[in-house]
Amino acid sequence: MITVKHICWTSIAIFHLAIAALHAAHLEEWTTGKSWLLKPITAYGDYTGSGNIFSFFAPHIGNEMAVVYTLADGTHQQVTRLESGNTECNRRIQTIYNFFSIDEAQSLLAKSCAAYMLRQNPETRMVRVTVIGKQVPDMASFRAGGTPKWEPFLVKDFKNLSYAR
Amino acid sequence: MLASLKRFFLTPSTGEPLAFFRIGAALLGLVQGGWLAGSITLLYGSNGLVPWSISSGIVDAYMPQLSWLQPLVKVTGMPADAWVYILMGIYLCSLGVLLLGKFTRYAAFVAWALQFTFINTGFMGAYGVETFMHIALFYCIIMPVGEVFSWDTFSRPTAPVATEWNTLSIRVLQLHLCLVYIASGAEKAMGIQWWNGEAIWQTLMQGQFARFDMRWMANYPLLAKVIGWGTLLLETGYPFFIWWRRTRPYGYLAIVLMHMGIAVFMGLQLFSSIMIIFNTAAFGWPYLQHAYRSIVLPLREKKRLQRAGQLATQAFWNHFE
Repeated sequence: MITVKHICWTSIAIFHLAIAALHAAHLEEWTTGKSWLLKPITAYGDYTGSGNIFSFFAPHIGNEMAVVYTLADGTHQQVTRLESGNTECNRRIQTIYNFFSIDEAQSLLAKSCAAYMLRQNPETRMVRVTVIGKQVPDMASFRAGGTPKWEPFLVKDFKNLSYAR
Repeated sequence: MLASLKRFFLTPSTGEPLAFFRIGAALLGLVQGGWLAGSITLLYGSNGLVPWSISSGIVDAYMPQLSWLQPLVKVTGMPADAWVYILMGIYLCSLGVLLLGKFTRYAAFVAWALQFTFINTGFMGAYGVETFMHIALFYCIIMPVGEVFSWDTFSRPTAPVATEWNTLSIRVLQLHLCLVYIASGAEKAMGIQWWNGEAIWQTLMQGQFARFDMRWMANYPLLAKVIGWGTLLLETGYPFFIWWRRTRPYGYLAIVLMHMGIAVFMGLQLFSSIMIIFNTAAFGWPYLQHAYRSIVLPLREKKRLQRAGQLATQAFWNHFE
């Protein structure tokens, strides 16, 4: 026998899956503005995990990004990277660096990376953030002799203000 | 209509797959926490690579985030990063309690709330494993994941009880997975790189994923194409072959192998593991159980018989000495 409890929970389950389906179909991109209905649906999706899109490695593969830091303390300079032997941490650093592919994010993210390096190396007077992207040729070009190339596309210098005073 | 809905969602079943889901998700969360323990301030610290001042400006104000700790930092005078470590400690403890199946729903709630706080703060560094861990922890609050293989039920030596709530939960997991794969497959299918094999080539040539030297693949573009098409077929066809009982075991095996391939060739072990946990809880549990009964149990029985034989021989010689 179906009870009210059964009907309630089954309806909740169907509602939850419907929200998951709407988000997977890029619900938020359907309209330009955020309607009054979209806000609670988005919030529900965010809190319950039903608000995700699943565009892993889709529709195409983005270029790999790396950041090289040049630290200068007045007498020496040192070129370093943030990645370490911890592969899971490196994956997250890499995911953060991928935001450099968004033009609007570049300046703020470069500033944020530089600030982190300056805090980690307080004796540093200046840091240069060089963002490089890896261009991998397609298979046919690779066979014809093309090779993957790292090309810098953003270089920004930041000064340690505590030394500037 | 109502009868078929009832049959589909509410036919009673036991809760072992859900217990597997709880144990797998909690264990994976603990592994992930341990793996990242040394990098917590870099990834989530107030002055991390993406500081709170930036993340709080981007993430919606209604989403829990670590910057909410700031009033507490002011009041207690303790450094913000110390609070981050404390919260991470509580998160790992709650996962431990969830793993054991003690106070399951409360433990799942604490773990879910803290994981959500961490991923909102470190959203720029989060990837698929965080997405699915968030989904899993939310389901651990709502679903009856602590009914079997749990501390709470050790004192009750009864066989697992079949209930309609287990079936409803498993149906939600199954349908959610179908959505995930069909959406993921459809998005991939929109890009030419997945059709001509370039997606596979480009991915394996990236230092962040490459585990082996795969340059040889350029000489076998057909292989890259086949892998790309295979991925599209597996993902977009998932709801069909996983739902049809006849193809389900092969479909399950194929999807598990695909994720194992991702783990081995791209180094995404945590992501692959959580996807295998989801798939096994939703569809693969009967096959895992079958494999256990047909492979592990006979091996154990054989070992026991060998031991009994040794003891009998020893007793025989002792008797005649």
